[in-house]
Amino acid sequence: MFNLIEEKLDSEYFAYYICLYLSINSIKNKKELEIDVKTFTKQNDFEFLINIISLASSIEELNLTSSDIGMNLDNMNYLTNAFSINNSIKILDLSKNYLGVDEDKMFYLKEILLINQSIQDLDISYNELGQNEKNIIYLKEALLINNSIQNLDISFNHFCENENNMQYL
Amino acid sequence: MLINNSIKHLNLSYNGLGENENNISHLKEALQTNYSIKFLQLNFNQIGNNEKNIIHLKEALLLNSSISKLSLIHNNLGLNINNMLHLSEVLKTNKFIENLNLGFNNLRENADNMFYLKEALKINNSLINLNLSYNELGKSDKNMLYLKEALEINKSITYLLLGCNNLGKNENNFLYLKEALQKNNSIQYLDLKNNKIGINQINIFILKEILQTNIKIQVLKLTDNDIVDNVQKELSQASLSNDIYNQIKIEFA
Repeated sequence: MFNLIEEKLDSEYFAYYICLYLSINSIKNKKELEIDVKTFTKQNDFEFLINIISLASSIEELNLTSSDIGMNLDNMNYLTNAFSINNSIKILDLSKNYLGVDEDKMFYLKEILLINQSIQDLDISYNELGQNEKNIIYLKEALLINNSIQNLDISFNHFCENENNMQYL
Repeated sequence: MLINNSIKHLNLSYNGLGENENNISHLKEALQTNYSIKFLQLNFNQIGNNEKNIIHLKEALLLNSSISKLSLIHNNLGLNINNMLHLSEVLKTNKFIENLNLGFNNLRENADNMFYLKEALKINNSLINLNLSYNELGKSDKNMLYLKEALEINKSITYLLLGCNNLGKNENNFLYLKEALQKNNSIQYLDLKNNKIGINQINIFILKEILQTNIKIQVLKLTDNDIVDNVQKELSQASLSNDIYNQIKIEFA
């Protein structure tokens, strides 16, 4: 797997786009991309990565499990932007990312699912979605429009925390 | 959410749904308007702790015609015999469920659980894959007696998984299995892993008879049964000397 972290990220735009170009070229034939975002040291590392994903049209499977994405709202914003461009990813694993800790994260996921029609397999297990019924409402609103998702994993989400959660099913 | 009719596989496991009957009631309402879900996973939800949950699930499944694979692992279904009675009513009527996983459900708790399952399997002819693993069925030989009576009549079950049921502790379990397989012509895959078969020579003797006479089984899984090497060879030889040359593939590891 190509290690994006080894690329020298520079705040200078020229260096940035050179890195972006090189990175896209290096993964242009890859179909699967698994990333441990926790190894990122700077916030713009994630933004950089997401820019690559948005332009890498060969990737069909993106695994971002256990990446603490939900700990920073900007991450979800970058992801939303990426999926407004990328239409190749069919399998998206966002499990174990604290998406349910507050409802804002699921709002962005709703936006992703409203825009994107390529994701067929979505794993959002282990995200504490049951903590707040708004999470489930956003998911419901997304799935009312989205008709590409065929496999949905919402296990391990403490739906029992709130008896209203299941009524949005 | 399920008004969306594109979702084919929904995993709702480990959500504590059984803690409040309204959860399963909402699920029932959702399933009554959904016709896309083919595979529903409800594992580890304590659904069997409250009979009303099973009644809601029954009402949903009696009307639903899309679900072909249902996984109910670890839901304490065996704790209340009425749970299996309701599930039995589903299996008597529903013609769409082909794959049912009832593993880890404490079915050993009362032999009536298997009685109700028997009554359903005698009528049902759509179920192809039945998983009854990890239910300690060997605790009472009535469990295997009821299963025998079901399998003598049932013609659809092709994959039967009976792993981790402690069947080896009582040779009657294997006698019933042999009698069942003498009449049953549909089972092609039989999983008997981790049943302590090797602790009793009579179990091995009966298994050899099965291997020499059965005409339909293709694969017999015998892993983790304390069967020593030379006995493994004897069982393989028994398969090779099958009366009608049905050489059953035996998996020891």
